[in-house]
Amino acid sequence: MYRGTDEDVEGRPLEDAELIELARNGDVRAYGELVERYREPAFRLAVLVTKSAAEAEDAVQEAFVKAYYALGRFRDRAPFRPWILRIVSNEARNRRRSARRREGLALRVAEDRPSGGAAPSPEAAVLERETSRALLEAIGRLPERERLVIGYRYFLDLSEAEIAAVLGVRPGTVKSRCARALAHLRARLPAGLASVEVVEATDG
Amino acid sequence: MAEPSGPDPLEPSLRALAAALEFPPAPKVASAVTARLRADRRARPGGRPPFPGLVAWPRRRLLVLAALGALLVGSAAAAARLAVGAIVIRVVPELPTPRPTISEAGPVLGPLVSLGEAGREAGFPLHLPAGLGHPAEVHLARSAFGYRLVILVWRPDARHPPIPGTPWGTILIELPGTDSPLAIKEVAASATIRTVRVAGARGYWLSGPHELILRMPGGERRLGVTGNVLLWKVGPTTLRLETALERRDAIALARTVG
Repeated sequence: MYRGTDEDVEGRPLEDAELIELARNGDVRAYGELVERYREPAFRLAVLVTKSAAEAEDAVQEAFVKAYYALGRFRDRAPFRPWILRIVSNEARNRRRSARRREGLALRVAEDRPSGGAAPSPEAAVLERETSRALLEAIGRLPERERLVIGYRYFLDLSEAEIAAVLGVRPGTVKSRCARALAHLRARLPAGLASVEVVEATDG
Repeated sequence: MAEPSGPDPLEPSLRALAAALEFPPAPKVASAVTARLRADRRARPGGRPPFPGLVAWPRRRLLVLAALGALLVGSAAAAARLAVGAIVIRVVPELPTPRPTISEAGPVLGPLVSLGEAGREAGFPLHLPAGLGHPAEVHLARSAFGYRLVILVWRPDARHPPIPGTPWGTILIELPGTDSPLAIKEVAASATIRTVRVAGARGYWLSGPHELILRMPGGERRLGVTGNVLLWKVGPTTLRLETALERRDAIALARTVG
């Protein structure tokens, strides 16, 4: 962990803004800490775009290199995460265009329920997994712009403002695109799935 | 299309799906990224950062920077080192003029020996991939610091296409697992360096132009590399596999090493 050492910052990790300032002045190691800090959301985003872990890794590495040289254009006090994710998104989309078309999302639903919350009955757990799988499959068949807005919102947990920054559109566009994507998603789900969701929605 | 006024009924299911979703593990790309940036900086006259002008630094920032530099020289330098056993990867802005490939270098790489002899003399366990059969040639060379290195080559076949510029389909170099750098991979900044796992062991995949520098008793020997290269360790042995195969197939081959 990259930590400051003078009396004002001793013992705490440097803020993004401090690392960016160091990196802007040529401190590659400070930039390495930023890469380490954001490689996880960057990689997940790239997986959603490229549908391939291998392509995603290349896209992330290339995007971080390009971002370093673009730090001079980074606005002070702006959040770093949406900025870097936008660069990753562009790089991943370029790679996806040149790669062969892939089906599916390169993701899977875990067999075990994540820890936290009450354990469902075995029947409910099976139903939940089947619902999740059907949902994942349907998301994978959505057009790219709708698939991405759903993935960014729910899988990466980005805010509307962050999604807008990543996609380079207005927040209102994100809202309407998300609503359209959800409507299309419902239309693509197997019959009967909606009723399962209503039951689960009231469980909680 | 009219927008829904409240939360969408699909949201709970999407949240549940997000919680149950398994993404592939995010690769540790920081070392490769910083290695490329350092190489780029070396290529710039005066080693100046790529940003227009240096910011006027407040005193506190300068103190932080100076202290960080001193603090991180030891610990972080080790983390940034790209190496597998006795093989170190060094990223350079660009490679010099093309060098002879390993097959063109021939006798410099040590005398031809039998596989049994190489196994007895190497001083570390030799490992062979399954399915390639008996190697066409085995060389036993003296390396720096009194170590040995073993070079095994196989001819191409239907599943192992020829490595450009060589008569070979597979080249395997085996070295001791020492941390002394016996070989250096000099990689152009434009090449791809990727961390990989081979049967649970961390390794590197290099594709794109690079050179292999072998440290021999008489000095360094530079060789051009035209294939893709996988570096990893098996027990006390460092392995370097050169092939025309793509990464997944090369890793599958490496997994058969026993």
